[in-house]
Amino acid sequence: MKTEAEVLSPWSQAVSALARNWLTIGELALVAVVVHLYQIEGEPFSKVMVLTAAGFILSLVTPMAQRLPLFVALSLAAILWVFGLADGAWLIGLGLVLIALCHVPGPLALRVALLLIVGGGLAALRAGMGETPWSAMIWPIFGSMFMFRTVLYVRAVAAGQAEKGWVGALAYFFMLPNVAFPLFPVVDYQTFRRTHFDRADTAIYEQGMLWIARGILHLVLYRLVYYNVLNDPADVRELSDLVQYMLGTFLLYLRVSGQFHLIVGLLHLFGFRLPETHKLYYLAHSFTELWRRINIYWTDFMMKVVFYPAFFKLKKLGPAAGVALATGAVFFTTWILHSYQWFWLRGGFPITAPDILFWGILGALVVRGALKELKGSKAVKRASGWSWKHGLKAMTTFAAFCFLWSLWSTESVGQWVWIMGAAGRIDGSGILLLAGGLGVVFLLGGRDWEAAKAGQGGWRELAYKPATRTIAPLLMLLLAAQPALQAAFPEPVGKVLQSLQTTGLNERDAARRHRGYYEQLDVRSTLSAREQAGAGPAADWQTPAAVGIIRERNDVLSRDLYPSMRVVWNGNLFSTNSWGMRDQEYSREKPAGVLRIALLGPSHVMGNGVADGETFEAVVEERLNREFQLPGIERFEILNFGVDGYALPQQLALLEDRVLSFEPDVVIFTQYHRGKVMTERYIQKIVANGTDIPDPDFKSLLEQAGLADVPRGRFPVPFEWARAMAGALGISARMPQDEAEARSRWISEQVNDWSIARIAAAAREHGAQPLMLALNAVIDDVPEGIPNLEAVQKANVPVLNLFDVFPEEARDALRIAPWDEHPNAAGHRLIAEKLYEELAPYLARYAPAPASEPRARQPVTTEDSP
Amino acid sequence: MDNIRETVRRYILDNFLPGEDPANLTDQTELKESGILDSLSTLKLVTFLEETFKVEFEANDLDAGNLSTVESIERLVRSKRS
Repeated sequence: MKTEAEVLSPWSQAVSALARNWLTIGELALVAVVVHLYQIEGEPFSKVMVLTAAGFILSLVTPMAQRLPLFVALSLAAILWVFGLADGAWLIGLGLVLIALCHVPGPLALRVALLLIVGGGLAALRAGMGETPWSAMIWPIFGSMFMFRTVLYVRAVAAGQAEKGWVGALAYFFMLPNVAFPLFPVVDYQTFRRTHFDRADTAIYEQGMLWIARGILHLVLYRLVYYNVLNDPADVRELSDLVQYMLGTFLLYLRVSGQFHLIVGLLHLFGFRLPETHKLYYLAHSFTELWRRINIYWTDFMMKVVFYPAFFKLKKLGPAAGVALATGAVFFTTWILHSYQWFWLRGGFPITAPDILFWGILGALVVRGALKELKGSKAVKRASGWSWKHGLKAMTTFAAFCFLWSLWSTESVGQWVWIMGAAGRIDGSGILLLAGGLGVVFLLGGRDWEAAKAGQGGWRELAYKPATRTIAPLLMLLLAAQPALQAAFPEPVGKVLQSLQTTGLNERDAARRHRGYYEQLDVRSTLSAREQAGAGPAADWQTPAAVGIIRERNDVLSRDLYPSMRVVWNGNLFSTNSWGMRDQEYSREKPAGVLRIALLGPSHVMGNGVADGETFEAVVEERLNREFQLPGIERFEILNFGVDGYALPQQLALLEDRVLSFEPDVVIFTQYHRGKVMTERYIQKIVANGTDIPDPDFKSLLEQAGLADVPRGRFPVPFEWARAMAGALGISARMPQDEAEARSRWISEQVNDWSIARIAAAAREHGAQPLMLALNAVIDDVPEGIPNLEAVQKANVPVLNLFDVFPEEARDALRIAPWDEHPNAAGHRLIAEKLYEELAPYLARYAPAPASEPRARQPVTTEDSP
Repeated sequence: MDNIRETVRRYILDNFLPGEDPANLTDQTELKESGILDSLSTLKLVTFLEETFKVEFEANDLDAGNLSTVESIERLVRSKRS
């Protein structure tokens, strides 16, 4: 086939190039709209997009020789814009020092030694061993720019392949998109320089736009998985849950492939014709092929610095031994370097068993595949069209990698072994999901997608044009973001479409703050107010346990507050009365003419982070006594029984243990966004402690989940049958934490429902009216509904709904610290104001008879509730 | 000169592109980008070149630029022979 240059005149070529460049500008505008609508990759990326769009248009009218300096100028401007002048200048300055060290005259060993010394010093600072004049927020990006590229650059300098002058080096290290992406492809220096405008610029731009659109699509699909598919390991009970978990965790990698497409696509707009990343990696036909496809940049980096050097040293042992040992070295290095990457991006150096197992097994599989390929004398011609053999290979590779990836994504090997137990509990949905998921890979993987592109005509040719493949997904996303379209679908579909425009943590992560390797490496969300304010968690910031106010117990309360405490906690006076309430002194007997309210709840009820007298309980009490009048009521008392970390069953336990003896007229208990998680933790604790459970209903729930009378031995052994066997063999077994976590998840909702019913019944039996306070800490992702509402309604308990009391725009000002979501004094005043409005109508209704007309305390019936 | 190119082309066609139309493999075809050469096939090719042309390669010689096309491979072999 003839090229455009061969069939068109120079004038026609110029016109064609101009038209195609205008089309690229139009596509870039469409990208900007979609990025804005979906809030793709946050604020730094928006800034990069602005600079990219402006820079691209400018570069079109810039002479070729000046395009690289223009790219450098844009890259440096992006750093200063994103980090501010001071931090940006520090980042650039530190980078210049490292680049200069690569050029120190003398032998390579001297340069490497100098780089190691300076790098070691920087690593010590990264680890917090010293003060820095720059803020911590620059570390991940600085690390991302220099942790691997320095190796490739100094190697190129030593081989005499680096250019004279600074422009090439500055472009390489500070490349524009890096400022928005801590996780960045390890671009090879020689490839970066060799491919710069080595083809017609219009074709490079079109390729770039195609990959940008594909990247955005991957990132939106990632959200589809993250918000709608991914489940928690503790929720895995049956085969369907297990398949969902395995598919979900592997599909999360769409985030990385999306970011890499976006990065490489953006670099194409400045002429860097870098290799295609993550090419059809879900459809790889073997582990070796998957390894080559999933991140070609890393594979090439490893080939260059580990595989080839190792092979040439070892080849005298024979090709098979050389390949096997060199491949093993690659995987060992990859494992170590993933921890090294973690260090620069997050500051720690994790070595975990799932990590070692994952890289070890993957390495062994790739070695096996490589040896097999090496033995095969010739490549086999790929069948054109669809081949069931290829489909089968793709399906088995996908299934095996899902299996392996799930190991890497769990927190411990024990947790992984536990969730694998669900494979034995086969359900119909599980079989359907498994067949459906693998069937899709089988069908798609059997097709030769490369061959499919060639030799087509008509509408297929149009469909394969870069512009079509760029614009079509963008328009589709644009359409899906329209509220009118979302409303036109049934509600569940509409909600899924809305979730595609959501940012932040999903429900599971919000509760657990645990995510997979790559999700945790995306540190941009942590570079927020906390670090921008230059105030990470202060070294002297005290937790409730550290300040010594919590009394641990081995009964169903599990913990309470020490009585008669008076301490200064994070700068605030924190006192408890002689009954262990975070409150002023009260008599146990209720004085005549007093309306008494008992308030139960967790830390934000107790007043974590505010001084005595600043809790919303104290503010409401004071206002009631100042403003509110009821016949026969001389005074209102609100008794604050809040205790840090209290779940609903603990509130019930405290109610029965002591609260009712204070003769309250109203009992307010608290439910909040972490109510379920806190109940799970409470269950795990009482199970681990072997706490005696006197209540038969609660005990029965624990028995249902296999959590009653659990052996408390020394060695963690998953599964009841295995513990029984271990016991028979004289091994001191106990339930592993992950299993306890999963089992507690099975019943936590029921335990909360039961607690609500029991609190309501116990309060009414003692003549008190139960009310539920729905109140969160100052969180950003407020759940849509109040948890356990059905049980609350069933128990006929009125709700004081303050679930979303903190206005979004004011939340930062209402927290006690950027890193602590408890409300500060202003937050408590806001709660008090709203609570007063909600509570007052109920008080009029539930007020006891006036003191002049004494009445015996009568049980309150559910009919007394509205 | 053509002998080296033709030998390399023939080896690549026979071993990595069975059944492919020889016209599709030009001296400028990108071997790595188009997926013809990966890490293992690179090693096979290098072993073949060492044995056929009695040259010896080092790890640095395997950088992408040196093995990117039949033309660049021919250049590399010549530089090793000289």
